Amino acid sequence: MAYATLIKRGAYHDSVTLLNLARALRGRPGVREVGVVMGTPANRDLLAQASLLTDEAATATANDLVVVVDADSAAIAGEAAASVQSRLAERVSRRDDRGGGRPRTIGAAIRRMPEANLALISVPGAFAAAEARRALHAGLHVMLFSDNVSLEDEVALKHLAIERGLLLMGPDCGTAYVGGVPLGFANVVPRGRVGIVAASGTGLQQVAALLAGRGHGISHAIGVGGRDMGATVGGAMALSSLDLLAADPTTDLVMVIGKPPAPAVAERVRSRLRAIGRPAVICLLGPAVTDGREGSIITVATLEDAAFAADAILMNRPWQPLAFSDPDARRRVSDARRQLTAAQSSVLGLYAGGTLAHESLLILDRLLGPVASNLTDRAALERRAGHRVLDMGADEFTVGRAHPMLDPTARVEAIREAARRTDLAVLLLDVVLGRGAAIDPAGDLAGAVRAARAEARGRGQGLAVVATVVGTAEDPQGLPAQVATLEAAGAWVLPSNAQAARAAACIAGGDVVIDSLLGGPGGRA
Amino acid sequence: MTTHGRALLADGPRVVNVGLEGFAEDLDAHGVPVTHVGWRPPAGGDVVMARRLAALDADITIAAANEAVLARLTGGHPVLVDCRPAREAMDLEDRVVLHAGPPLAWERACPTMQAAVLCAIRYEGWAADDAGARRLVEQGGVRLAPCHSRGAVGPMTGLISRSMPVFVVENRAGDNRAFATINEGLGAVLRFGANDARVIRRLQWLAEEAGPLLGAALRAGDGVDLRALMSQALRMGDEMHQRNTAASALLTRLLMPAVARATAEAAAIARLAEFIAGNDQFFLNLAMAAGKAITDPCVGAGPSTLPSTLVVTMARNGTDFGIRVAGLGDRWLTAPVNVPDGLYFAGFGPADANPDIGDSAIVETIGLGGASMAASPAVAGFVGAGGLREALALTEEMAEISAGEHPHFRIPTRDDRGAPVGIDIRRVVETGITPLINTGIAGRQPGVGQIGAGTVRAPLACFEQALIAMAEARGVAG
Amino acid sequence: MDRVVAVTRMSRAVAARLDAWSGTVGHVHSVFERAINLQWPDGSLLALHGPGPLLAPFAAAVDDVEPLRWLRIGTPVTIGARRLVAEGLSIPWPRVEVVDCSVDTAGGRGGRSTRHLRHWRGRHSASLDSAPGVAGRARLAAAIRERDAARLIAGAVTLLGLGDGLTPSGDDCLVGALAVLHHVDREWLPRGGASAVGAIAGSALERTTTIGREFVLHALAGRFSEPVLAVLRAISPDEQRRAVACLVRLGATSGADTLCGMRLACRSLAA
Repeated sequence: MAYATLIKRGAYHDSVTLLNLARALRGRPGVREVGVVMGTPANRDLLAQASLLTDEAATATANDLVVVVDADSAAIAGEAAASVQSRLAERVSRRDDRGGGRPRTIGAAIRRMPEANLALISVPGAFAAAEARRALHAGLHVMLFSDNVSLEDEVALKHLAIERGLLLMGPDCGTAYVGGVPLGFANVVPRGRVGIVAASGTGLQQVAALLAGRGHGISHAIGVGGRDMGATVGGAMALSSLDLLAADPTTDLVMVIGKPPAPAVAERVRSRLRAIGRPAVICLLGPAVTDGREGSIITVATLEDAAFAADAILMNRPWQPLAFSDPDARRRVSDARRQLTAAQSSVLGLYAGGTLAHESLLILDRLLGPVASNLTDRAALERRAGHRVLDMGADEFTVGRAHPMLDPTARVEAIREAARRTDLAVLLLDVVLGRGAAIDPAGDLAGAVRAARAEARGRGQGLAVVATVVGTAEDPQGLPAQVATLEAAGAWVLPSNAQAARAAACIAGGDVVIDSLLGGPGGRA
Repeated sequence: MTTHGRALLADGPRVVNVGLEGFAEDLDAHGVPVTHVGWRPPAGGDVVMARRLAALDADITIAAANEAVLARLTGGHPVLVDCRPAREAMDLEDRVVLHAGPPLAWERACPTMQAAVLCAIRYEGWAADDAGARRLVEQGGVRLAPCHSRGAVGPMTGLISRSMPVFVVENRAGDNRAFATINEGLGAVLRFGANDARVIRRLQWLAEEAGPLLGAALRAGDGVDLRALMSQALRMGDEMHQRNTAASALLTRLLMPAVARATAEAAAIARLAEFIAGNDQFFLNLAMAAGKAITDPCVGAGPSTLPSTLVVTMARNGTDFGIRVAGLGDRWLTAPVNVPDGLYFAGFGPADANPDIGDSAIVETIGLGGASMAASPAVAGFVGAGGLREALALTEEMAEISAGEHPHFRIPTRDDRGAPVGIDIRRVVETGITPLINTGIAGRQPGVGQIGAGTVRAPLACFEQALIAMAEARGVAG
Repeated sequence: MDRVVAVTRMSRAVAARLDAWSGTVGHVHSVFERAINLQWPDGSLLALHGPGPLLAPFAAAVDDVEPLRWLRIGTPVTIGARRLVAEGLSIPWPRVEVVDCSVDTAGGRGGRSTRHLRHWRGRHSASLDSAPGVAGRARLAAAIRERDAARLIAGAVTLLGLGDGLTPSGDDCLVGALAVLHHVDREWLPRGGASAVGAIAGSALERTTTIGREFVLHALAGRFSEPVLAVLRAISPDEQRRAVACLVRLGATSGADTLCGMRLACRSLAA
């Protein structure tokens, strides 16, 4: 237990600067607690209560800035305190930058903000690789939000990044959490002990939101892009990220989320996890994945299971996968089925989140038989009637339109069209909340949902609408309010995407499916 | 993935945002340090050009060559040592008239340039009148060549012929010399295409009295350190293109004692002193010669030996704008000049403006002039660019396309940071930002003189051509 | 040649001071991203910020705040004839809009228009939930409910200087409570609560930052920033929603902490 104090007499910095400073100091390895306050009597009392009132801090007066660091060692405390000077000076120099206009290039931006350490790149795919290369050459880590980057470019960029000891998240990385800061489309979750390597954006969002729902937070979540663990890229970033998390003192549990990797890559990932030695959860969304345990490494097949397995490990209690959290699920399924006519038998999934669509597709396929999807075989989509799962974020639906997480138009139209079908039993939806997403995504769909159910009722048919909301109470949209909006429109909202898919399968598939999930021991697909 | 990665996780991200502005706003609202880049597709969206750019950006020998050239640009040390007739100092032969800008055929020259050439021919006595002078030129009896090809530079029409006295500037960081005439002053002068007896009388006085006196004064001492003088003037509000007031005053202070000692004729001293005192732009020609002295050693032998993408010459002849790039040797890349845009003196307007003309853009090539606009907010107002804020913004813009900052030319209003220097053709093509030049606006009618002051941009086409040439030379498929 | 930055709006308090103090020399006290503060010989402040509502009862809005941010702390600033003069900078007010930041003239309707604030559910700063924060708020609430000067002093003293920010959260909370109190019962503080006013003003000197104190002193006299006044004056639900949203956006938690104090006072006055 060692303290370092820094007093800046007569120093005036705005609140955002000080909050940012406090957060940065707290994030340093080895730092236990931090106080960044003006030295008023009331604040000195607060410091005293937090055991942070050093002798030096006690001499501060109301117009002095007081920084006290409590760390594992004198060296760490001293370094942290010393970093305050340069941080505040950086802010000053940025404030003094009177050069007008925005920088037009990454190089110029770095000249304006020499302390920059990460480039967040979301320019059109044709130009993204070049910008990423520039950023890496300039020594910045990269979060490559852009998609439509060629596999060749991805390989080259990741080699360059690794050469320089830098991270390249992506391409097509929409979500990340770095040092407690959410980047891109991200839900508001607490800072915590779970470190995640994710090859999928909405997959990460689902897991993070479910963890937050159980009170667990994320230390860091690094997005590596959907192709990273394939044979060509060879898991380059996944492995580097695992090494980073291994060295991170704030991470107690490591999680990997993605599709099943190429076999060679899978083996490398497992052996890296074994070497790390900390509890680990691998969530692989693929057709032949089964749950399993190998030492401290648990393998699961759904995003929900990833979150719940992690929760079980962190809380040191046993874990059993569940079909539904709602004990009343069977009754709700029956109620829904009662309103269906004989003609109604298919499921239509309209998804904003690509990974969520993929997960649903796998579950529905296993429980109901062949499901057509634009994720697998676009041609088959044309030919087949019956069950469908559509990733509305895919290119064919986003020409001239924003992504469905931002713009509901495409899905609303699709719901309207679907309402005319007489064979449709279940409409399956996802709603994704968080920073960067639409202001009221549930509200955007509620009207169309209500209308669709009314239209079906007019024909004497009951249309079941099953949904999941991926988010937290702290998200700007607020999880409870969004759930309420959908329920008011007549949807059955389940707590996870996997459960929603199962519910849809039960309603469409009837007793055979229900029994396989809920009847008899060990019956769970 | 060691220290960089761990530092990122421990400190949190400090972000450069390229693309969707919403991300930057969101991060800023949550107290995360972020700078948003006003990104535009490189090369205006031209995919082929962007590919060339990417290839040249990845070329490490170019990077090394640029460093070498930048070192020469910032290390050049011009010193004014003498003033002598061009026939002596430059070995300039008979029946040759040097002009500003890239090579120019007589038929393409603008009326102002033609009028000045005719006047120079009459001054030298090669023809008795304009008609005779015109015939001489048209029939090849008198040759035209760029000042640049003979180690010299000239403002506006920039004419030099063998009888004219030229300042001699030595580059102490190398072994080359550069030359420029004595600035004639304002109003009806050869530089603006005036062609009458007054002009010739003045030129004669310069050759017979002013030039020799200045030469004697300079030869008696160790020379005037122009680099030190310009650094000082930069801190006094000059940018050495449109504003040379402080520099001219400093030079006068340095020269007059030696001038006074060089002759017993008080009247001659007085005439010279009055001449200099009445001309705020007296130093301009010396700033230009200094620029020439600094940049000449940067012109390489070719792209295989020194593949540098930095610009070493920018010059206009009233018809074409020409640039030379260090890695492309002596080759001129030209495009039609633009017309300057700015403020006009009473009674004049844009219709009266002559197209851009003069070698004075050499000043921007070494980081002064438009690049140092932030040092001279008064000029910003004078050329219609605005106030201090706009001036700072313009210098920042130049910094976007420049390779480095000048260690000797520092700008107080920019926290004493060095002036942006070393224009890189790759950055120009990528961002579409072309170099900004502070310039006087000459009247389209020969002899009217200066009718205003403003800014003009170098044409993008020159830099695109240069990039294509460089790419070809480096074996990049177009 | 001096750069000219013109003042477009100023509070009445600022206008009065500038009229009366011609020739006075102050200095630059602090410089921020979007505002600067000048300090006069008596310790009081004048805030200068960019176009928009006055963010303090002691503020003036200028047409362009950029050039002001170059001023170094400590630079002398003189009040000249209808302008402020600093090095290289002239800040005149040729055609200025004078704004009354005083609650007294806000017009009637007192309690009814602020009733909605009782239900404000936003998140204030954590320091207001600390032991002294909770205690201070409780004392303040009781003081307002019973018009008890002694408890008002006690509550204020506990809250002054508490928490993050240049205007500490406790100060913001106090200012918010005072705003509603002045709005609903404008008689009490100047008369029955006069002793409290003096005592709190005195404590503010040592217990909080210079900037926080300036806000508190004005608040005791019934003067507030325009965003706060807008919340008090908003009548229709739309106006109220907008005004509250605007106030919440101020500072990191400053606006929210002010609303916390306003809610506290509304609830206490309704009881």
